[in-house]
Amino acid sequence: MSIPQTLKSVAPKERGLKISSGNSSDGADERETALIEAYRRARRSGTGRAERLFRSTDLRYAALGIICFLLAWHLLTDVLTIPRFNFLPSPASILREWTSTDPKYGVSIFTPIYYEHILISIHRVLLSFFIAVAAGVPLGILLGWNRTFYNVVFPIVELLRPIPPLAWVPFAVLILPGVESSVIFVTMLAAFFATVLNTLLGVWSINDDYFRAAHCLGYRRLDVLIRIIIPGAMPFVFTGLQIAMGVSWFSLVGGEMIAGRSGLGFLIFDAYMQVALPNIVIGMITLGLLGYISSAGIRRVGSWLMSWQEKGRAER
Amino acid sequence: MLTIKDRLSLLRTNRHLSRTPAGVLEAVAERAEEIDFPKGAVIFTRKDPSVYFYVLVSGHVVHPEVQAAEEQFSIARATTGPGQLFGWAAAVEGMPDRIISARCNTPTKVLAVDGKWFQDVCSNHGEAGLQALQDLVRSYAGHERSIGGRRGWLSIRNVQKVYDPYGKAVVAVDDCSIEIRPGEFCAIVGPSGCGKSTLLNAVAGFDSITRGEIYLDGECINAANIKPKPGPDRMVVFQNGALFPWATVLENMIRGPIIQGKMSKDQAVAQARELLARVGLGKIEDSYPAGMSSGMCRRVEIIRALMNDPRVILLDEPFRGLDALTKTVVHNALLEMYEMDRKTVLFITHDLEEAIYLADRVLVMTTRPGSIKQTIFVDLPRPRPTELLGKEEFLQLKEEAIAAVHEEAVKAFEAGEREMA
Amino acid sequence: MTTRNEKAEPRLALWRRRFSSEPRLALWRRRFSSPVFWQGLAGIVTFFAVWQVARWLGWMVVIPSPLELAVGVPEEIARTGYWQNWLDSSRRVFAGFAVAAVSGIVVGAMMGMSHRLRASIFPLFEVMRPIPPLAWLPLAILFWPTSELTMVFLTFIGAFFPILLNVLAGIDKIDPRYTQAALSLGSSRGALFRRVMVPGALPSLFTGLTIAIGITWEVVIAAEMASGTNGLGYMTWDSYMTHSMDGIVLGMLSIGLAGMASSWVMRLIGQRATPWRQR
Repeated sequence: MSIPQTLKSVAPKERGLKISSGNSSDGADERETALIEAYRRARRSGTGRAERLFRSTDLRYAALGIICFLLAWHLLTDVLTIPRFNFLPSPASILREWTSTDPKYGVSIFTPIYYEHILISIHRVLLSFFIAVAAGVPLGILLGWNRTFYNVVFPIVELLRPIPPLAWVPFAVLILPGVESSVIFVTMLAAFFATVLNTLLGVWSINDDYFRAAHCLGYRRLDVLIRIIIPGAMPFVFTGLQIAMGVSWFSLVGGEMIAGRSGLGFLIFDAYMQVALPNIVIGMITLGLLGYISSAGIRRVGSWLMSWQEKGRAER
Repeated sequence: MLTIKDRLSLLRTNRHLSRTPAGVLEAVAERAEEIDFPKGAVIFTRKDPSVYFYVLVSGHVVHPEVQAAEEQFSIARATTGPGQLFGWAAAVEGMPDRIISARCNTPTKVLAVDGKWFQDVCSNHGEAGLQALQDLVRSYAGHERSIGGRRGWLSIRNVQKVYDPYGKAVVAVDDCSIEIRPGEFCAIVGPSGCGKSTLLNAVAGFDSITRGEIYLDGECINAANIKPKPGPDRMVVFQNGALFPWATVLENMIRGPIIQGKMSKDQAVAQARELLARVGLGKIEDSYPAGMSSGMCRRVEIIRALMNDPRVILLDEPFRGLDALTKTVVHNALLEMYEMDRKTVLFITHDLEEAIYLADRVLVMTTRPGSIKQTIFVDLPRPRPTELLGKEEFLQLKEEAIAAVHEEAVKAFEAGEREMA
Repeated sequence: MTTRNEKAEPRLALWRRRFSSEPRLALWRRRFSSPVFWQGLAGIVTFFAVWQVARWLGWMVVIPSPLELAVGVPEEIARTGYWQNWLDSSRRVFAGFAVAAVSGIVVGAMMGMSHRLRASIFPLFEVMRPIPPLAWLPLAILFWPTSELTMVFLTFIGAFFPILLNVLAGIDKIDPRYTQAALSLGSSRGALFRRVMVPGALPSLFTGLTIAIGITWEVVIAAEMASGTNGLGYMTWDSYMTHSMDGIVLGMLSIGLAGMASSWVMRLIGQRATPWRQR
């Protein structure tokens, strides 16, 4: 293949220039570079200086985008004070509040209450996530493994699944003792269905030939379950876990806002009630960070567990 | 009860027996025992010590015999006419077991003749008697002698497969009969969609069939109205490869024999290493299939099949999608593995060259509904070197095959066009 | 069959297929005769039976039994304003979804076409995406003048990211060979966009839209619960406030139904729009 060969030797900036000068329409070339880039990424052949440079260009663009966003936010809220925008907290005030040792509204990285909210939220998410996974993965595998079980149980799952988790909030609050258990229930519910469904899809995604080969090799039902279904469904299961983690945070915030007395969702809503504007954004950013970290963690664990998928691509 | 005269005329209607000396035939008419079988009875079956052969008086017997002229086999679908002879194994010296079975479709009446006694009478009649016996013997499946003791006789009898019988009713395979000797390398070629894979799936036990039977060493492994079961006696190498991607090469290889209880883990590991080393793949036992080239994957898959000591290896277009150079390498590896331990191989492909290069016999299949159209015998000596591909005799065979397949391919193409319209 | 008949056959068959009820009848007959149907039915019936028996045995004090619900829920439906709630919620969902779809597609297409734009915007979106849509609620209430706009904004936030991501994934998934083929056939930039990128990204786009409309319903429910004065979410919340279990269950059922129906419609449109995909 000649494309990556030539690419490797030419620095990205030069390449960009060269292509633009050769053709008048700029966007198509952009597209082409993107394509080639994707192609390169798929091949993973060059790990030399050119690629690192390429990466750093991306980084520069990313920084540019974020800086522009912050600047616009700052201009709109602090400098220009356009009507309605002046209701929003400015980035500077948020940063000041967030890092202040003596915050005006009581929440900053130096106040224990901030970490208390974080810990409570994390505790709830993790607890409900693990309950959901512990129940959802086996159920999904069972559904995919046994046809009759699927026929009997899946309609019930389908009956309950379309109801959004947050619609369960009033129901949960009424029937479950205490706020804590109802928030956890709602959070768990969201993650549960995502896990079950993706695990089931994972079992279904396994190539039929693997089952046939297993039968040929004399695998018994249990062997098929342990050696074919579980490892084969893993990639989808982990996609499901990532989705489950996402919806867990989503429902947690809803649950805490509507029915909670603590946690980050409550922090945000409480800040709104008491007009502590910076706290709203602090809560949002913290939630975003936690959501990102948790799903990145799952991805990491997944790719570590499924190294058999990656190994091939590196060599081919 | 039939009179002696009735019996004699019955025997005379058979074209093989009619050549027998008159004295013998009369003796047979006197000695022959009349037996009635109810509907559904099995007259003889595998390892049946019965030494009788039978002359049909009335009734209907299914799969009574392999009618064999040396190599090219065909199945008598049924014996229905009075006077027809079946169960000739009794007439063949040194055949301890019958490996075939006949089933009565209707209440059936037969004349049973003791084979040993028949042989004795024939030999007492001197030259003419011996000649008659030899004729009879020759016309019986010559291959059965070679079957004695060896495993892997695959017998596909009058198989029909209709997909979706209540809906569109696609007849994939119809009245297809193939006999494969133990240790034979048999290739089936045909245009795509002609039912090759259907046949293979039926043999492997993945799919049921709508009519006919498939026997492996005389054991029924698939028939209409039964749910077939795949097993380690028939190993399949799949079109797209089915090495489990989540297991290392070694794990892929050893797990089957361990689960079947054939080997302990240590034994399995030792044998797997030995086999890998023998085909020159010694260093890859700990890598994952995704990390290997597709040619390597195929080779590993074939030796995974060999590890399980199957009676038949079924190869379902295993080299599809490999580039030509890799293909030759894998072909040679396959031939090498075949030489190591001559297992029966059923090889399905649409590549004529590879079929002729590898196989002892190439069967050309007709387009849908598929059945065997032509048999091409490849008597090229083994081991076969790569240079063979350019030799005159090879090219001649190839020409013959191309002519046969091309006709079918054109038909298939036209049929496809009709379907689209 | 004679030649004449054979010629007449196709049109007749077509006509029959279109106007006779036979295929549907056959379908139902097959459904009734298959164990799958009955096993599914048995599952659902068991579910309700267990629920009913649990109520009779007095294990569940708060939750009404299916039989009580069968009486209570229709009463709730007959109340004035129930269908109005449907209308209110649907309007919000539709508005937020439409804005999200248009902007998601436009931004996604732009990002797909221009690498520079993508490199500068995408990380920003990556930062904002993990923030749950509901966390925007207080800011949205502060910023938007009416609660209606607030709720529409929230649904927009919920739907925007899945649509955008799927548009991008769709563009990425286009086989480079198609683009190369188009370029080598001498297609202009506009043609490349129209004939290769749009059809190539459509399947993924519709996946995104189907996911997004589901999320939209979830968000609108929560938003209505927290700050609405009408709509299905508010109805559920109001039933909770007045301790009407029938109302809560009706709310849940309605919301589930609404989400399902809109996903179904979306999938149908997707199938119509991408007829070349095998189903």
